[in-house]
Amino acid sequence: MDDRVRVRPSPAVLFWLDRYCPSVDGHFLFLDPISWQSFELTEGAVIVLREAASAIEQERFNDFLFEVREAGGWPPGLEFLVRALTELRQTNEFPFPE
Amino acid sequence: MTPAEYRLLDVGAAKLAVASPIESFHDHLGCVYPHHEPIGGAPFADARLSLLPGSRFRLRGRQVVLWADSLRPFEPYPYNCALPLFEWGSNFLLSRRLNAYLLLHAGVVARNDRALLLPAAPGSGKTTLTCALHLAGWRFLSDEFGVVDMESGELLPMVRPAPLKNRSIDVIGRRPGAVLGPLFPKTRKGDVSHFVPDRESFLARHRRAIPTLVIFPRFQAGAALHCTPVPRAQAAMRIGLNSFNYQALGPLSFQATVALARRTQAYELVFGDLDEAIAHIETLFDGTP
Repeated sequence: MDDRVRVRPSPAVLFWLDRYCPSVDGHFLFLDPISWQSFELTEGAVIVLREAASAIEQERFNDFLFEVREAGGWPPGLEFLVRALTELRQTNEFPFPE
Repeated sequence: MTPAEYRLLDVGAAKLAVASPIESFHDHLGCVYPHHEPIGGAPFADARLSLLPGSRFRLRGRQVVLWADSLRPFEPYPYNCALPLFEWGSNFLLSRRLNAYLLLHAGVVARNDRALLLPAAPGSGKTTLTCALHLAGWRFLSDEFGVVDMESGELLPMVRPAPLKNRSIDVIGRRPGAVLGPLFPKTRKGDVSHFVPDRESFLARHRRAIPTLVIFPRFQAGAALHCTPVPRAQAAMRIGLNSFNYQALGPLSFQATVALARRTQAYELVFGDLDEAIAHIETLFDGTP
């Protein structure tokens, strides 16, 4: 099945991670931009999220998906959060609270 | 004032207006809101409710019905249980409406305007512990709502009677200084009696407090006291899970809970003895900067 996703570059994705994926005493919290649920993440998971965010912003998300597949697949639960980040790709405004 | 006029209750973070022709309801309301002076005119209320009698010809006993915004959001209660219906019903309505604030399901007490938050699931002993701390000298802010101003991070009081259930009625009722309202036996939640916060807490219902310590309490009959620190990230998650409107507020509530976790220390407290728990909480609180 072709799971290629068309994405356009947007600064909103890394912006979201900067603001809504803070480190709290060495642990990471993440706010899902779609469901507005929170998750506690490991540092490794945050690295994957950041790589995914960079890929989305650089218009190479499909390559990133291929790299994940080649590397053995997604860590448990993480694909769902990355897919949520792709939904920010068309956001060109920043309606988020300061 | 006639019984059918709206009676306004300013409980701090919210205002409630209630009208009912049921005289016993007004008597009970006077018992559990003894410090409230009548407020005239038609001022704003966050929730406006009516408690109206059901049909007198109902075979299995007369009932009372709660109306709000032309809707009946709850099943009717027995006629003599209008006060519990009002308390639970108005709490439900406030939990849906006060979205200017992050609403935590938590007891809140304070000393010198530094607040202790007790977020917990139902059945954890939160209300009993909140009332016992109040009787031990803490200011009562709420037994149900931790009302967080998301800009300042401060806690607003919501000074309302605390519904004690079953064994907690006796546990709190025999403590010096405890004032309880009438007993409502065999409601849907068991026997219920409302604990009345003191006049000083009522008078301070518009004075905010700074969150200082978070305790996730869990009563376990016969258990030895067990207290463990909760890492801040985990505390933020747990605070969010114990919220009425966390998901509705999204980014605002996320940032507010992270800020709250960062500015406080958090512990999980399993207890089987109320006095032992209070003593331990006081030690923790005194040692918190």
